[in-house]
Amino acid sequence: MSNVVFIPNVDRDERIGSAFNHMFSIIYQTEKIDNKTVVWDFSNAAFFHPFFLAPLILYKNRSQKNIVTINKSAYIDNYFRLIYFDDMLCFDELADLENSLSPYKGKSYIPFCRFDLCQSNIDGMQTIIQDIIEVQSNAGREIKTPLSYMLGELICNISQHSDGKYGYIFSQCLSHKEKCINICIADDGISVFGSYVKARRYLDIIDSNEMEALRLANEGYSTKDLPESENRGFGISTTKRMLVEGLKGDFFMLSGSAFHRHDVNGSDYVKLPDMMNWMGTIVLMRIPIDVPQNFNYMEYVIR
Amino acid sequence: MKKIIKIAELIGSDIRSRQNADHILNSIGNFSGVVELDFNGVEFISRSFADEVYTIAKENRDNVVLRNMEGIVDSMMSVVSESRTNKRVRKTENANMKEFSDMESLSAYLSTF
Repeated sequence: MSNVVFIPNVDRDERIGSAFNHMFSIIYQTEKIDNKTVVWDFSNAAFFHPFFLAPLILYKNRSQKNIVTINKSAYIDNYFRLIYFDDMLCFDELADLENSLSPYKGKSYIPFCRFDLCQSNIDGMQTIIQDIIEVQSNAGREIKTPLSYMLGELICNISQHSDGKYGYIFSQCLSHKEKCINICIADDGISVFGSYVKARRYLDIIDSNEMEALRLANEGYSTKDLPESENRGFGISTTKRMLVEGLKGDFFMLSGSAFHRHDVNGSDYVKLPDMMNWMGTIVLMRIPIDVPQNFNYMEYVIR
Repeated sequence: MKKIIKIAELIGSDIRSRQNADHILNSIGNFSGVVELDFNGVEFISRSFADEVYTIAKENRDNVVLRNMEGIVDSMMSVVSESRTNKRVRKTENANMKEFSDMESLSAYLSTF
């Protein structure tokens, strides 16, 4: 059996479902190969949708397989070098991050960044990354507050609940046709389901169903609520409400063997086939650059 | 005796993570007089951080007062205060639950959006 997987061309204009389809297919094909070394052949690929590329980078980085890439065009080779496809951008000091990201102000993307979830200044990291994204997208001031909220709550969530060592962030602005910011935030933790199991919360509802765990997390059932005050669990639910209802964007979450999609057309929770299991959690958001005129940030903060 | 802690200087003007509350607690230390947390210059606080501030000012310490919260900072603090004193009313999401046992059916679903 061949150990070669052909990476398809997944254009930035491609439908989001199609980008996920390709991503799951690559993972499935790679896992199926009974050989420690797998070759990803890029001879058919010229462009990549960020929602295809970001999970692919994570998967490659964390896979037990030795994944070798071949037949990359000079353009892709250079692009992969700039987004740190092979090694991710890691940093110890915020000044290092700031220096590394400074040349990206004129680009439409940031490198695939890996950060320590225990680092003391996650806020400082977010400020640096968000400043770059705002410059790249050329968005108005109205996007700043919802962006701060959404990124802040999601990053805070993974640092508090994932039990992981690292968090990851990648973004790409499509400022011409699509007019949106595509952001990926991920962790290498125990998954949403694992987090409920570890905390021994809501197990009567979840049973062994990862899809149900994802639904609870998205509806704001926190493992850390105080006994007499439900003060936690607003992060994801408010983020989704703000993004989907307020900004008309799309929200996706993949964790363990469950997938969640929420956009203006509705909300789906999906149990993936048994052979498909994502290590940790990944959130992907399509954030429209143009904020609707009547958008009122506080209106979407769940009370 | 009064101690004023300027939050913008201590943490920054955009404050997101819960852990930032530790900076405030460290600044307060064992001071037993009145502590004013001055939010002048703070433009954004996350709900998580607001929740921690609420715990410090309204539950754990009786000597801490909040000053100069304005705009969305003040609004967020009010939301947190409200949710800490009133029972949360949950809205169940109107969602579809789908199970796929093979890649073909998953692929067919993904092709719908």
